Amino acid sequence: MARPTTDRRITLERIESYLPERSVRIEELGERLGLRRAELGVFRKFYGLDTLRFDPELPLLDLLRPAARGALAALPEGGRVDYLAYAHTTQAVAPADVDIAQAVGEDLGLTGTGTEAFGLSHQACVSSLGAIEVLGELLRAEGAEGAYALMVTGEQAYSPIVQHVPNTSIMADAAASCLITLDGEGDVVRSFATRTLGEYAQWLELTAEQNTQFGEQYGSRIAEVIHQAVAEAGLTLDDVDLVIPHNVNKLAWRQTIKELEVAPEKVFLDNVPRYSHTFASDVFVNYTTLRDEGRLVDGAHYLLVSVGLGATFGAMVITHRAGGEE
Amino acid sequence: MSSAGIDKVRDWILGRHPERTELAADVDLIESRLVDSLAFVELVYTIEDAAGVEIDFDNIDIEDFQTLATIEKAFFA
Repeated sequence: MARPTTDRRITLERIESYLPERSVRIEELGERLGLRRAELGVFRKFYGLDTLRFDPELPLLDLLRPAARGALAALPEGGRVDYLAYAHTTQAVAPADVDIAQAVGEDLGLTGTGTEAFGLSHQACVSSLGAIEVLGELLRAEGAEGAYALMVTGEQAYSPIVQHVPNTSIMADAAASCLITLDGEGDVVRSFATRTLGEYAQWLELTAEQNTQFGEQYGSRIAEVIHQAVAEAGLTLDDVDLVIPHNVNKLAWRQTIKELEVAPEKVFLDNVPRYSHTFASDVFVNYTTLRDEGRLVDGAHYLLVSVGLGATFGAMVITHRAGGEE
Repeated sequence: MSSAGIDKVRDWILGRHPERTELAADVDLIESRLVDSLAFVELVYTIEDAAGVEIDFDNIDIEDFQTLATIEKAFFA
């Protein structure tokens, strides 16, 4: 007899990421982004940025393909991808007549297999975490056996306006993908908490007062969704091995760490100077770094945390299961 | 007695926080979020403007920006 669908747990069967090879130091982007000496100094010295991946010559599909194929490779015999979500931060990532979700599906050979492909945005850099929840809900609603879903994220800093978030970060290229199912063998999604503050919907057009307000509450808002996600997972923050965050900058996290009252080493920030902020890919890029370094422990709990302009705060608790690792 | 330079820095911080009327020299500006990450570049420009020199990023640390007292010692002493 089938179990009630609402009880079925979302599992992350395979997470992969991809970074273009071309690496630049932030100073090399100074002229392109119109960054002044002091801004570069603050970005390097206090925000902890150093190098990042940036390859304007790389077609978007070439950026997305390696991680998507890697995640899809975990699809077992008899499994099928019912849904593909392309999650992105920037709302316009391609000309209006190009549907990237469809293009990715075709590129992966999913055309004609019944996969429903769609784009998902509006939570900015939290969109990838949000997509996991949406895909999980779709799978639950259908309740079919052998059904999988593929989350694909990744985009490029194709213009200076997209690449430079003033006083905040320098955006960089990367992609990530996650194969999802219900009650599978992979990491278990235990909770997802999100909060959107619509008063900051104007992104880069906020007034100085709004920016001040946003900066003041940034750490406490992240802390709220983290505490909520941990509580909904039936855990405490002490039970969480590591926070796997977005790479916005080290100073913002320093203030958040203070707010959370946790040890600084509880938040994984090693990739901030390596890759900078890669839109909605950060948490998955960081996850794969940790996994590949053997730092994810079977049965341990991890927090994936991201913040998106607009402004959305999101936190997801997962329990790692190493059984499927190669 | 504080220097005119550090008074400009204090006035800039207080100007961003109208709810405050005073700011002690030992208040941690970063951890109290009186200066958040979004405002850090502005803080640097405010200090440079008040001190009349460009900050040498190779020879400073974030601790130099921790309080009004450390800012005064690093840039106005």
